[in-house]
Amino acid sequence: MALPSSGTITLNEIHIEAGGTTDTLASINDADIRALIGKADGAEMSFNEWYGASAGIVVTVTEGSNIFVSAAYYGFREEQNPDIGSVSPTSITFDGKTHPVRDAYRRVARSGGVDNDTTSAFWFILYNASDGTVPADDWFTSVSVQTSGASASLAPAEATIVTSGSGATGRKEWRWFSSDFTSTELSNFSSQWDGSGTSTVTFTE
Amino acid sequence: MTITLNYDTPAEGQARLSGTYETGEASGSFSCPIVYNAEGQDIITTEARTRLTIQESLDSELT
Repeated sequence: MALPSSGTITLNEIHIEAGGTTDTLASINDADIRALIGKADGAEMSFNEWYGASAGIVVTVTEGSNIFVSAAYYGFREEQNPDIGSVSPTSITFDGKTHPVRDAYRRVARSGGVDNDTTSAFWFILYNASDGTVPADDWFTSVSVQTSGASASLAPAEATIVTSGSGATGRKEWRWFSSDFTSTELSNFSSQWDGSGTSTVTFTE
Repeated sequence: MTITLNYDTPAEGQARLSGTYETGEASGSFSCPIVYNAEGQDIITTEARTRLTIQESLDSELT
């Protein structure tokens, strides 16, 4: 939940938003607190700069690999049995509804046993809420996908969005094509989402 | 797989295209950016990207 946009704001509130524990030691210059507003170590800061600041919704993907003849998938795929990889948290809440995460992966075309990383696309898929509520196309303003040594920022306006099914098993998919990444981002994306380790996906509402 | 897209003709300058799709076995809705080129709206490419996404979604457990 974002910090208030006006009024009194305390260091404790900022600390909690950054993921800290209430009433524990914190400093305005701590890296996680500065990160909320993108400040460098030792930079001059004012409390009103934290108005509306949000840590976003962070989804951590423990990557698995799912390799077929013509495509490979690296990341989390709940649609497979058993699941490929894992994700934490397993569901995310926004607009008052909780949506299980179905998939978060890099998909790449594959031929002759070799991935063509220039075709890498990022997919993020949510199930509807338990009452059938379909997530809005633009429930987030941007999503930051961890890449090797950096991140790529993607917007829902760039995504191809597909809605399938209904009720709690219905789903919505956001897909970004390789052309939505710069060449450097695409290379770093492919290096990071290789089926090993963990990668983060951070949504800003 | 034949994927049929249904949508209203977009106005010039429109950013996104929204509609429904049918494959015979599955159906749903879509929303995608409209691709523009030097001549204006490139609906062929826009449709191709959307069909590819739907196909890859439906085939994702098989390919």
